[in-house]
Amino acid sequence: MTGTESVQISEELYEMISTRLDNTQFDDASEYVEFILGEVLHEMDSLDDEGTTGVDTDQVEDRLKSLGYLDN
Amino acid sequence: MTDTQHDNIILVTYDSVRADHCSYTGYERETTPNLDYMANEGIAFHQAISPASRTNPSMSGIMTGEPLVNREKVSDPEISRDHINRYGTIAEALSEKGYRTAAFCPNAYASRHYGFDRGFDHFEDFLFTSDLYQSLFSKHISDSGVFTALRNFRNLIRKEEAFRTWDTYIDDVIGWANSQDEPFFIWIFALDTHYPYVTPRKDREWSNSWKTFYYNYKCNSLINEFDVSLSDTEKQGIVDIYDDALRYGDKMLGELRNRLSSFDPTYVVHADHGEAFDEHGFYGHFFPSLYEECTRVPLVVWNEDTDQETISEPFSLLQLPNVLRAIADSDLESIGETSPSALSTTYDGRRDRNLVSYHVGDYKVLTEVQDDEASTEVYDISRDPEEESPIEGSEQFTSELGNLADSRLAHEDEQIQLKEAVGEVSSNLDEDG
Repeated sequence: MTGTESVQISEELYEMISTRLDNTQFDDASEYVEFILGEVLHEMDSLDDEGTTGVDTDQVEDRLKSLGYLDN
Repeated sequence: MTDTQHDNIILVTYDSVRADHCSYTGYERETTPNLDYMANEGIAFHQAISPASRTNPSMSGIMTGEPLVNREKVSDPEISRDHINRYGTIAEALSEKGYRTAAFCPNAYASRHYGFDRGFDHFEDFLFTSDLYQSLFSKHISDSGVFTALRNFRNLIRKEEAFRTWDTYIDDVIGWANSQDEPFFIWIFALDTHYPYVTPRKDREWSNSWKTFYYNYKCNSLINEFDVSLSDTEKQGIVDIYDDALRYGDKMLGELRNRLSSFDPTYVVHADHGEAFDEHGFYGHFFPSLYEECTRVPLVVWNEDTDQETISEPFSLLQLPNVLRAIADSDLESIGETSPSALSTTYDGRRDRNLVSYHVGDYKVLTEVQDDEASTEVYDISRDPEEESPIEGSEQFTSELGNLADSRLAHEDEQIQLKEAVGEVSSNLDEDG
């Protein structure tokens, strides 16, 4: 993260987030909100970008098997 | 460096190299003379910790700086692709600073198929496009076990496909560097140290043709075994061919140093994960595990002008993007700054196991959850580096370490739930058009 800006959320939402923080390693509600919004925006970008690599899947699987990898 | 503000950077990733088999950390065999030179003149890390114990999840963390959190099989390319697209790569960050970027990576698990090309101007993973591949190997033929064995044998001899060695593409690396404006960032991945350990005859120090054949055959038989018991002779035989592979892989550093010296690059050399030799009942890195042999790896930063420094505290390779940024900003003094703990985390998709470990100072906590049963072990790594005897009792300190691992697992569960919730809403929206 390069820098931060402040946005405001309702007290009600803040309380809901706070109750979920206890069992996590998010430092505070801001980190929690940052994570969720990051996921949402990333998901929206993903919907717009369904590009393929052109690489043959069988070929990749063959190489991984050659190196001893099973399906994990 | 020529007339630019930024250093050229070479990132070298070795596959499956454990730190305690590198001579710069004190190993009795001279396995890594070129890395030793860099360590003796540069910044040498003695407790670098990989974020996971297999290439794909580990490199997903290293290239982004964020640990890969998943509950699916990592063979699914969507997992790392999604992670890399979500967090971006160090290659992108360096591009924004004006770097030209290239990668030479023969490991399919870190190929463009898995999303690792993001941010690179040039990405060579030695994979063919599907049309060419299909014309070479029809699906019908390549499904045959005999055909696969023959093709593996041919590739091993010709150093092709999965068995490509550094000497077959170093000219491409040098050629690319010579054709670029500076500064440049090159990521070179070396598979030479990955099973099967096949070292050219003239480069063998501790093995011979018979050992190379027999002990690779032995390793192959152990890949899917998780309760192995190797004799001392067998273990030594495997170590002999492994150490020779390390020594051969290390030769690449000498060649790079000689052939790229006019660019005065800064080198960052590390491994993606370690390799087990029956310390805890399994071989290799195919069985996900976070014991030291699987996660303690080499890390050295060097250029002609670095002041020697030894970092003995645990250092997570999740910090590697910060190291590369610091080099780009000519801020080498900040590189050795360590964080209070070093996290490793991985998910075993075949057996539905969650594993988390933290190094905190001399101590390490390992927690594993399978079938809703959690087990936690705490070790004093300074006294018991091979993790033979977990610390008994429930003193406050060991309890706090256990709580740290538990809280990480809960944190990952929350992250997974949030991701799934976002994905569900998104797919509903997609269906609604």
